Amino acid sequence: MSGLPDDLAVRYLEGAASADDVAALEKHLRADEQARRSFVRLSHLQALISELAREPLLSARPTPRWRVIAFTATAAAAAMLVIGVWRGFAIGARDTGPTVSGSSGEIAWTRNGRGLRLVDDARLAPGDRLALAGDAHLRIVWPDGALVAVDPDSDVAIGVDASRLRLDRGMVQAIITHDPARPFTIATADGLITDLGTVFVVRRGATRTRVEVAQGTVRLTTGGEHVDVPAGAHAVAIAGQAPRLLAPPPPQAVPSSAAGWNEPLPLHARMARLPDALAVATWRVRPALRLSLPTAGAAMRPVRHRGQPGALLGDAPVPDLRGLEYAIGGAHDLILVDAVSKQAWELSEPEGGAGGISARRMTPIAFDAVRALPGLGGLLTPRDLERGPPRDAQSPHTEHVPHALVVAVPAAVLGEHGLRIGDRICIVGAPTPGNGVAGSVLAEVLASHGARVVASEGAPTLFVDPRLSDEVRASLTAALAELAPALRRVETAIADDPDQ
Amino acid sequence: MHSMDERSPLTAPPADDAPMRTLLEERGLLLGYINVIVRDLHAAEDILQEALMLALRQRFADVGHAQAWIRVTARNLALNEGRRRQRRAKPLSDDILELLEPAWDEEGDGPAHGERLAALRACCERLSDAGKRLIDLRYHRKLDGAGMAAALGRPLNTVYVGLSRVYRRLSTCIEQRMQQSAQPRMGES
Repeated sequence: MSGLPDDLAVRYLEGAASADDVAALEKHLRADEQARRSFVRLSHLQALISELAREPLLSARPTPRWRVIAFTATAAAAAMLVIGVWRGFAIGARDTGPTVSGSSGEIAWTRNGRGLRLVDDARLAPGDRLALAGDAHLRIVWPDGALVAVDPDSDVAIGVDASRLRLDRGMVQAIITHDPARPFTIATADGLITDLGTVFVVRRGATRTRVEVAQGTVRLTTGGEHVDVPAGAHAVAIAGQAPRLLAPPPPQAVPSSAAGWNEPLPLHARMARLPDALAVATWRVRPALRLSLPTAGAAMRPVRHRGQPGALLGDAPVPDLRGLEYAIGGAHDLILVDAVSKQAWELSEPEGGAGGISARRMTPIAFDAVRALPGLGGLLTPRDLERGPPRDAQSPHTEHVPHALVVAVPAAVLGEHGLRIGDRICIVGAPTPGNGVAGSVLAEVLASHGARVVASEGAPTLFVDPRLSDEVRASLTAALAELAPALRRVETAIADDPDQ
Repeated sequence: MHSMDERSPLTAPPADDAPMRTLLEERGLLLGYINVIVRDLHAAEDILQEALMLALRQRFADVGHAQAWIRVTARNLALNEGRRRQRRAKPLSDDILELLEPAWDEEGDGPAHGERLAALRACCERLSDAGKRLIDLRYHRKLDGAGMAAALGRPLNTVYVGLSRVYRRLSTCIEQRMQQSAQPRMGES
C-alpha cells in the first residue's frame, strides 16, 4: 500500500488513532499521491465489507432460511409508490433481463448446453437453465422488481414459452408488483400462471402443478380454460385438463375488538389481516420525530435484549422476542426493523422531561435500495404458514399490555433469529386501549400517502388525497377499515419533524 | 398531524432518476468518503442515509451536480457529527480532505458498485480462516479493536496489523478479479 503504513490507516479509520497518529497519517497523505489513493481505496473497501456483512448468503455464518412475511395488497401498493420513485434504481433496471440477486448451494447454470459459473449479480438470458441441488437457494430479480425465489431441488428456465420463467420441477415463490402492461407469467408443463398482482407459490409435481396464492390473484390457464385464484385459495393444473380451483379455507374469525387480538389465531390468519400500511411505517419515521403517548406518565425503561439495546415502553413484560412468531403473534404494538427503509429505531424519553417518547435511528443502514426494493422481504414459505404460532404465544406477552409497546430491534438481533434487514418482518399489532403509538405511526404513514386520519372515538375518518390512484386509495381505505374496530383513537400529536 | 407532504419520498414525482440512481450506485463510495471523517461506519451509514434523504428532495440538473452536491452535504454532515461527538482525535484536516478529493473521483470512476461487491464476496470466501475470523468479529459482531483483541486474546496492535493484512489481501484480490472480469463477464467452466 504505497508508503502508507497500513495499520496506521486502519487505526485511523477504525477511530483508534491518537492525535500523533493523525498527524503522521496527514504527513503521508500530504506527501504521496499514491498514499492518498491507497487510503481512499481502503476506506471504500471497509464500506463495501460493511455492506457485504449484511448479506447472510455470503457471510461466514450459516445461511438463514428464507422466511418472510406479508407482502399484502396495500404493502404492494406502497411499494409501487416507492418504486415509482426508485424504479430506476432497482438491480438491472437498465438491463433487459433478470439477474441473480442471491444464491447459495450447488446450482448448475447452463446456456445453450454449456455450463456457466453462477455468481451473484449475474445476468440471465432467455433459455438459460438453472438446476438447484437439495441444498441450494436462488433468488432472481427482474428489472421491474419482480422477485422469484427458487427452492431447493428445482429446475427452472428463463424466458421460454413466452413466459418469464418456466418451472420444470420443484417450487418457486414469487412476489410481483403487478403491471397490466407486462404481466408476469410462469409456465409449467401443465399450464400457465399469470399474476394479477400477487404473492404466490407454484409447485411442479410429477403430474400436476399446484398454485397457492398468498396475496392478490393469479390466473391459471390450462387446457384452453382458466381460473382466477384468489388469495388464500389454491388451484391445480393437469396438462390437457381444465384447471381446478380448490375452495379456499374457511375464513378465520376476525376479532372485532382489541381484546380479540389476544386470541391465538393461526399464523396465516393474522398475516392476512395485518394492517399493511403500517408495514412501511418506519419509512416515514424520521430522526427526532416524536410520538406522543396518550397515557400520561407511561413508564418507559430501557432494556437490553441479548446484549442489544432496545426500549420497552409501558409496564408490559420484557419481550423475549423469540423471533418471528412473537413478532406476529403478540398483542402489542410491535415494530421491528422495517424492510423498506432498513432501519431500526431506538426509543427514548425526550430531553427535558417533555413526556412522550422520541424515536431515533439506532441502526441506520445505508440506502441499499438497489437490493432492497426488488427483494421487499423474502417469501413466506408454506412451512411458515403451517407452523402456526408457538404454543406459548399467549404467555406472557398477551396478558398485560396496558400501554403501548414499541420495540426497535437492531439488525444483530434479527440475525440471531435467522432474519436479516430486508426481510419483511415489520408487523404492527392492533392498538390496545390507550395505545396511541401505532395510531400515530399509522397516521404518519397515511399522511405520507396523502391521506389523513381524524381522531375519533368512533370509526376513524379517512381523507384521501384525490391525486392518489384508485388502487392506492382502495388499499388505504381497506387498511384503515381493518384497523377501525380496534382503533379507539388515533393520536395526531406528532411533533413537527425538524426536517420538514 | 402532517398533511400531505409534497416532498415525501413516497409521493414525490420521480422526475429524472439518473442523478439519484447514480448516488445510490455510488453509496459504497460515499460511505467510505464519510467514514474518513467520522471513523465510525455506523455513524457514517447514518449520515449517508441522511444525505440521501436530503438528496431525494433535490432537483439535480444532472449527475455531476448530484455527485458534487452530495459530497458537500455528506462532508458537512460528517463534520457536524464529528464536532458533536468530540470523543476521538480530530479527523484529517480540511486541506487533507481536499487533497483526497481527486482520489475519490478516481475511485468513483472504477468498477460499478455491484461488480465490486461481487468481487469482494468471492474474495472473502478465499480468505484464510484467521482472516474470516477477523472480518466476522469486526463486521458481523461489530466489535471494535479492543473488543476484537479481547475476543482473540491478542494485543491490540496485533489486531490492527492483522486487519491491515486482510484488507490488503482483499484489495489485491478484488483488483485481480476486476482485471479478469474486464475481459469476458462470465467465466465459463
